[in-house]
Amino acid sequence: MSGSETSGTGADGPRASDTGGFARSGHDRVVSDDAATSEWVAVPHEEMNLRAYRAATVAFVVAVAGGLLAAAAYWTSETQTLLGVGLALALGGIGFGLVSWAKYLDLDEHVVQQREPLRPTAAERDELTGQVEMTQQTVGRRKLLVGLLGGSFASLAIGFVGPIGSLGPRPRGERDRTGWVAGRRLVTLDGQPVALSSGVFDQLATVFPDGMIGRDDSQVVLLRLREELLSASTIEQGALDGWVAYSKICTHAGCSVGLFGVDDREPDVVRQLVCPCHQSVFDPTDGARPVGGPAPRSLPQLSLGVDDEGFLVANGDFDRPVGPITWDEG
Amino acid sequence: MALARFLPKQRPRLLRRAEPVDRRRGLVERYVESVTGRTGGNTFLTKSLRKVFPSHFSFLWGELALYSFIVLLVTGTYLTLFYEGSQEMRTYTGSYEALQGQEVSAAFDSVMRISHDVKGGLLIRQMHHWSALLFMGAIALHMARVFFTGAFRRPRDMNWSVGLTLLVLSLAAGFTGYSLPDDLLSGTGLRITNGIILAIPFVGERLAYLIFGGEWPGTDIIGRLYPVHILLIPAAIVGLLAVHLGLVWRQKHTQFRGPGRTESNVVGERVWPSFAMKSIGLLFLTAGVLTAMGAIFEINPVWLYGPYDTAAATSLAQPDWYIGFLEGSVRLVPPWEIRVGGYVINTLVFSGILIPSIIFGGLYLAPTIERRLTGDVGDHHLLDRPRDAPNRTAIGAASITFVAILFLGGAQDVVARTVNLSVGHVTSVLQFGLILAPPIAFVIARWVCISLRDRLGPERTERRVPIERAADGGYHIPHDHIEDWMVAGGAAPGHFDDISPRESVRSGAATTDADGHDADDVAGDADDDGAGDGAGDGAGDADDDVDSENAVGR
Amino acid sequence: MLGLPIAAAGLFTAVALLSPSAPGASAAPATPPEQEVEQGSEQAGVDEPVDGRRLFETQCSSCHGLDARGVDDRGPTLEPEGGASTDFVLRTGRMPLAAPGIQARRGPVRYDEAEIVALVEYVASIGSGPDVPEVDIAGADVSNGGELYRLNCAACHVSSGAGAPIGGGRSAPNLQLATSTEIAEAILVGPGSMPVFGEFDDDEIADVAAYIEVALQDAETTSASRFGGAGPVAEGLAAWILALLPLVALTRWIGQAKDGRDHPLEPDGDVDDDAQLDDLAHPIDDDEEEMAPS
Repeated sequence: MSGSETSGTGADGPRASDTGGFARSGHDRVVSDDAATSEWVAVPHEEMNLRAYRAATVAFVVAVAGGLLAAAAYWTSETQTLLGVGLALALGGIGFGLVSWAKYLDLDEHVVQQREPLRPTAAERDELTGQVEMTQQTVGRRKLLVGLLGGSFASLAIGFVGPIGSLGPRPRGERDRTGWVAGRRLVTLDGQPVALSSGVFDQLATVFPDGMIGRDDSQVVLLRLREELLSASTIEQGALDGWVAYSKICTHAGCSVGLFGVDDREPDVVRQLVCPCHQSVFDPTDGARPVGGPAPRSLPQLSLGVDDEGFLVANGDFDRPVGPITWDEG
Repeated sequence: MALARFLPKQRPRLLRRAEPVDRRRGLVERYVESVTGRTGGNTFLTKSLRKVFPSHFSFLWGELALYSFIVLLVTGTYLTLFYEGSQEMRTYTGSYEALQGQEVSAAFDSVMRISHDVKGGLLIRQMHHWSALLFMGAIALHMARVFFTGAFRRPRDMNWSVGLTLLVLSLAAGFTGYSLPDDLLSGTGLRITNGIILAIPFVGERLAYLIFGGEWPGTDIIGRLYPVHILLIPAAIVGLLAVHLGLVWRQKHTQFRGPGRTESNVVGERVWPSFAMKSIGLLFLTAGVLTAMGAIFEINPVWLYGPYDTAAATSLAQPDWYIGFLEGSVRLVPPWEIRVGGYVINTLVFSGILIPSIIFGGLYLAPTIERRLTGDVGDHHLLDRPRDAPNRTAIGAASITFVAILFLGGAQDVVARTVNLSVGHVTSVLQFGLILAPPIAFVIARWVCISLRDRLGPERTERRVPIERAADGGYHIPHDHIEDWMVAGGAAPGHFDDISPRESVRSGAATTDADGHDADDVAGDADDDGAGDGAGDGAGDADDDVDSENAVGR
Repeated sequence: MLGLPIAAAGLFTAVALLSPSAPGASAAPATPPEQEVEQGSEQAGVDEPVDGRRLFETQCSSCHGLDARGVDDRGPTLEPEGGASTDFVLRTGRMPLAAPGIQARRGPVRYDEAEIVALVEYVASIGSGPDVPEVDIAGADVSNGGELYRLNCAACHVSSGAGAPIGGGRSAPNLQLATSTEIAEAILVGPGSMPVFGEFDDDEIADVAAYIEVALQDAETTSASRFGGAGPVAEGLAAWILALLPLVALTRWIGQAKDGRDHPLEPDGDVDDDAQLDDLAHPIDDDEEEMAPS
């Protein structure tokens, strides 16, 4: 590529025009980055221009009206739809008007501008290399200083680690413990304990340990199912008279497993707990074992007992951490 | 019509060259002069105003993203005047009856206040949310355009990385913004994020404690996300945006092949006034559409979702659409669990960490991969049509198919409801689709590209019939391409003067552009043969004199 | 200009696609009973009381058996049912079922008031389930109802009441048309796939019913069209169809060069244009030769 951006084309121009119109391009203009050759181009006037002019006029009128409408709407009570529509008309009108104006001016043009080469020339490359070498010979000569400066930055970085550590405490096994201890009652959101005898079958309740309503890691989904549906191991793990309780926190990503579906239509008599976030499906009749979706493990089961007053209580904490599985829960 | 009165009386002399400098100067001129006279910015300003941009509507999609970002900044600033980034609990006493008396966080309370008690607040909030959705959509379109036209190749591979980082930052901005209202959906989203972080091998639990300030849910996270959402990420986006646009400015925009367009020039319209007027017009149109959306269509009704309660759950719990691919990954990956010694690699490591890493790793490496596959290390300023590079287009189509199925997976319950099938069946179909559909898309896209490219016709012969310029200045079709030329409807072979000029303009110049030789001449660069994978058959020895002559010289 | 029809089309499509009531869950409006009444209707017009037992035998016994103890492979026993469940399935058109074994969904009500009362009384007399509850939402605590709703109901019925699939091809219905009594009945008896919420007391049931009526069935929470019911997926679709598509159409309009302007003018067609161009250009351009001489 020649150094001058325009001279090459300039030289070829006349001949191009002579070759049977091969390059006679009505709207081609060469624009160099040299300001002195600036030029405006006038282009043929056509019917479309007047259409665009009218469109721009109407658009700006709409914009004015829209702005006024928005202002008026604010003083009335209609501040959602009307205010917004007014503003939308004002903004859209300006935009439509500007584009129409540009179209009216009919500046669609075909201007040619040369690209500057992006890769360095040999001379430029040499100069940079020279700078680098010079730096190495002057600043870089004192190896000790260079090394110490690097060391300073490294220790600075290490020094900043401490404050980052303050962002959160070190895990101390909180996730292994919940609010459930032996003898603690299961209570609903309003603090009511659940009586062993109270339940009809296929019922669902979200319960917490007494005195800890709303505590995240202790939320439990309490079901009462017909006992003949329950597997032996489920009963052994702490089902009581058809009552079964599982951690409500999904073992997949931790959402609340709040969806309980019942289906008695033969042949698939189904009881299933589903996590609405990622559609993991658990079978509450069989230890909440995962039967579909991405959850890899069953929901931890809470062993149930009954106290002197006939209310359901926990027999202890879950036998493993609730919620999503972490790296060291192998 | 009455309007005629307002029409210009005579044909305007639309534009004129600059008036002599000594005439009476207007206010604007004096102001500009006073600034440029103190900064030496005159040359820069003039050059900028004269900068040429090729016009194609797909080149405006990046601007759509930029302009929705501006709307985001403006509306977001307004929202910060009311929002409180705190999880401190208080009793809701605002005007929305169905939540009165509830214990809610200050964050949720302030969003309720914006929505129901600040006049015009709901409009701004909804505009902000719609803008975010549009922002990501425009970015996606822009990115697809850049990929399928090969605009990500050297020297723009650097800007591709900058753009991708902008995408990642935008996703982070979107996610943090989605989380700030502290409603049931955002809390659920944060809960899942917590789960994914917990699953990270070695450091997961510690990291989760650092980010959330302890065991889930803690009381810190909203207060921490707030400055990230309104300061750190926007500042990073603005900074990178400057780099992104600066690089476009410096490297000049790419252009499609066409008569007179070469690797060494830009053909289009100048920034001022034509391009600028249209572009500013687009800014206002974008803002107008977003305002209309905010005014008419409800979005994210936090009052229906209610304050976040760790024990509550709602179906149709999805993130905003742009996080949908991650949601889909988390929903579709089977319950894999690998035990390594006493440790577990959980399914979330695959779905929440591995798959996104593969997607973004592939995107970041796209320029490198293309370079490796084609051996093409040259600079490219001319764009390919998607059909010109069937393999690239096919890889793109396969990738989009993969991500699209992830999106469907993230909405699998909505899909199931729409087609009235069981969620489990839909999930299985999508799981198979995730593996089978991308190769199928690859084959189909490649076949379509090749069919389109090979279709002959007078208008479609650009890549088939090269034209050479002879030593005497005449033009002719190389001997071994005369048959192509005839098939394509060309006139008898010979010098250009014998051929109908119309044909010669189209096929002649375009052919020259179609092969990669121009870049060599321009940049003095090494081998540029086989530009893209599709350019190989655009043989012929064109030279850039032909192109230069399309431009009328001085 | 081009953008407007496309935008309009996009808007139309989106509104059609995204109207809040969900397919499947959305209910056909209850047809006036008198048009839908079947064989039992000859008694409806007359003032004499409807005989619930006789109506049951003609209308229900083919599936549930003459003794209401069920028929194998056709219908279950009604022994555990009662007034509440009977009232619920009849008033929401869930019964009679079109065929045994399918999921009962809301549909046109098949019986008139007197017939429903008679059937409810009859089933209540033979079943052991709860009776039709009395619900008074006048003094209910809407806010508490909301909390209970989010904790217990939203997982299936969605926080907006839109309803959702719950696995196995079953789905929880949209609550837009549910009356307070129906809601109370559903909580008490757990119709279809729904569990029973036995720990709710009467006040809590009224609270939940009140919340559904006040918050979820009220379209006036905002004046904006309600996309919210269908969640972020619908919102994302709306953003693409209603905002991005029209804007892309607008960029097409903005970026559209005038005919021929995206190429250099071609020699055969633009002789006149060239002449015009020269006319315009030369007066300005007399001192500098920036253009090719023609």
